[in-house]
Amino acid sequence: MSSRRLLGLFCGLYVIAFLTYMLTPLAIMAGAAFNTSSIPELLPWKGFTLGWFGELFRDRIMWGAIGNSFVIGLGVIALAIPIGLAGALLLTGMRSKARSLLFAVMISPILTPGVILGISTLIFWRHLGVSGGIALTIIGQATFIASFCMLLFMARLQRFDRDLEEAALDLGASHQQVFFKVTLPFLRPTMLTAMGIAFLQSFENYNTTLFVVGSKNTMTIRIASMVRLGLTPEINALAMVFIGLTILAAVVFEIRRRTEKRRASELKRRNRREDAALATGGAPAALENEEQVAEAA
Amino acid sequence: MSDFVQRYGRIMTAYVMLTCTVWLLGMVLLPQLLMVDYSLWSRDEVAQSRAMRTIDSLEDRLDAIDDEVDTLSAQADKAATPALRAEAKAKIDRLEKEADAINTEFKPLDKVVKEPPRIYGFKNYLYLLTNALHRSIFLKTLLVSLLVTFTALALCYPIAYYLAHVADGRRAGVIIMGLLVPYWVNEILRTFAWLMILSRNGLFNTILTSLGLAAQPVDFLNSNSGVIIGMVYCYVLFMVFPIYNTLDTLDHNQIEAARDLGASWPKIHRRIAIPHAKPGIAVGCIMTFMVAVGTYAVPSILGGTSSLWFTQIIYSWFFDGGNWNQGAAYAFTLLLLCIGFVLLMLRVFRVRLEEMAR
Repeated sequence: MSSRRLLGLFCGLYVIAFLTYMLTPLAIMAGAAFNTSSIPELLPWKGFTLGWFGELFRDRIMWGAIGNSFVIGLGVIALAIPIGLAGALLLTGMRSKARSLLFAVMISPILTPGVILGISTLIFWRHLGVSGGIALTIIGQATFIASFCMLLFMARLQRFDRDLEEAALDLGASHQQVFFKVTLPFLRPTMLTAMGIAFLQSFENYNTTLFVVGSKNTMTIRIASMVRLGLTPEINALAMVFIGLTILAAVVFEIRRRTEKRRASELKRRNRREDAALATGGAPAALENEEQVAEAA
Repeated sequence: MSDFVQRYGRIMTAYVMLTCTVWLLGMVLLPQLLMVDYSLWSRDEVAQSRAMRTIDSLEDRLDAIDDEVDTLSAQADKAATPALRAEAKAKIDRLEKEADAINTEFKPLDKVVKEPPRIYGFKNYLYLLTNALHRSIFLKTLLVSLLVTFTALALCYPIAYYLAHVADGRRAGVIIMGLLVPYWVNEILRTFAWLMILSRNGLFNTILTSLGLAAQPVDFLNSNSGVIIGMVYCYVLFMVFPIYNTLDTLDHNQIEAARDLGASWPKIHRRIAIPHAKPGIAVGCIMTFMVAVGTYAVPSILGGTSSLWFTQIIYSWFFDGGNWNQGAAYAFTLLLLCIGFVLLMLRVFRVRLEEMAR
């Protein structure tokens, strides 16, 4: 027992060390945003300032780049969501042997390094007379982001009750009506998740963008060139903003995960109780009433 | 197919088929095929320089003709007899005809100079094979990526297991939040954080020198060590979440049962946890290897001229060297390496691609 406790202690220490390793660099980077020193450094500490945030706010080029990233992100959503949905519908509706092969091709963009997607997109479109820019960046990024969306939709569609579709068709709904009134509403939560993920993936992307963006700037491209060429703590200010936003997103994510888990376990508990009730010949509805009474009391 | 139409109707089927075709052909397969095509040909430089030389000599000849015509026409003006004048005129005619003939030759030659004919072959791949520097960088990229992958696996498996089966829900949630932040923060910014730590006047060197552990600052950035440190940090989390997701679905009662039956903890991992986590481990390894091998950000920020990465060579073929064919060959080699790694992982862990998608 004591050796097990020792092991547990060791595990706990390891996890703390790992978390420290993951978070300290970010803390150092964020902290340097408040140092008056004109190069990004935490030590020596020369004094507290918020000036680098002002610098960031006045940086026209950066705002232009962020604007481009937004446009590209929206474009990727518009392109990747319909593609991912179509791919998911096709694969879930398929039973033949070709399915495995098709699936492999459809997720191959995820397993391909980003630089190669950028290069193949660049070569293909220059062949057609289109050179790098915002449009090409949207196309290049959507190639693999569509695969991610497809996986999300597939996971959701696996839980879809086909009887609903059949019932609607039997009751005289047209195929379009079934799709828009039954299938699509069922997919709505996934649709929102997929849009969020598509946008974030696009916003963060560097490797693919590098090859297809031409002379335009996106936020990551701009940050990379700032890091390599002229370096002021303005980048630290930007990093600070992003870390703040990320923490916020992580908290929201965690809260959503918890409520979902609680709901799932509640559902499981209720199902189990119903099963038990059925097994013993009792009525589940009565049990539920009992539960409500108990809750009220 | 008819099943599909029956289920979704004609319009929906048309949308699905059309969209998938455009995606898979226009965005995935044809671009890749064209890249392979590019990698297999090169411009005929011999023909190009030959054409340039021919153009030069033709232009010389044209100049000579011009001179001759000038002298002849002067002679013709001053000619004493009509016969002599006619003779000069005839010569001029002949020369001008020759000049016209030469002028028609320029167009095809210009085309050869501007766009030399393609020669298909494995020249671009042989270049990689025979260039000792590029070959060694390719091997280094492969070995370091493998190192990063296995380091990540070793670091992350205990974390994933701890999250899924040791920590209670609340604590696991807090740790997951703590890991999501570095996972979501931009790759470039994460690398930049390490630039601040590892640079000559960075935090690490400040600490080392002030503690007297190093007489002078250590140059991390011009060696491979900076790149490796940065990559492990940036890509380690691609391993945690896939493994955690699979371990999370393992019923904890199985572990308890094994323990009650007297299994030691290495045995529990070897016989229960790891076999269950196989698809997650495979996904984690594939993703980590893929981002490590294909990274451009980390070596370009943390590496110097002596620690080039394979992607940087590819980039310079496209944007500095201007030889897209050579670049395409290098890119396709990198893609083959990734495909090879994916197949190897599927083999080693005996999982199918479909199992990994969950």
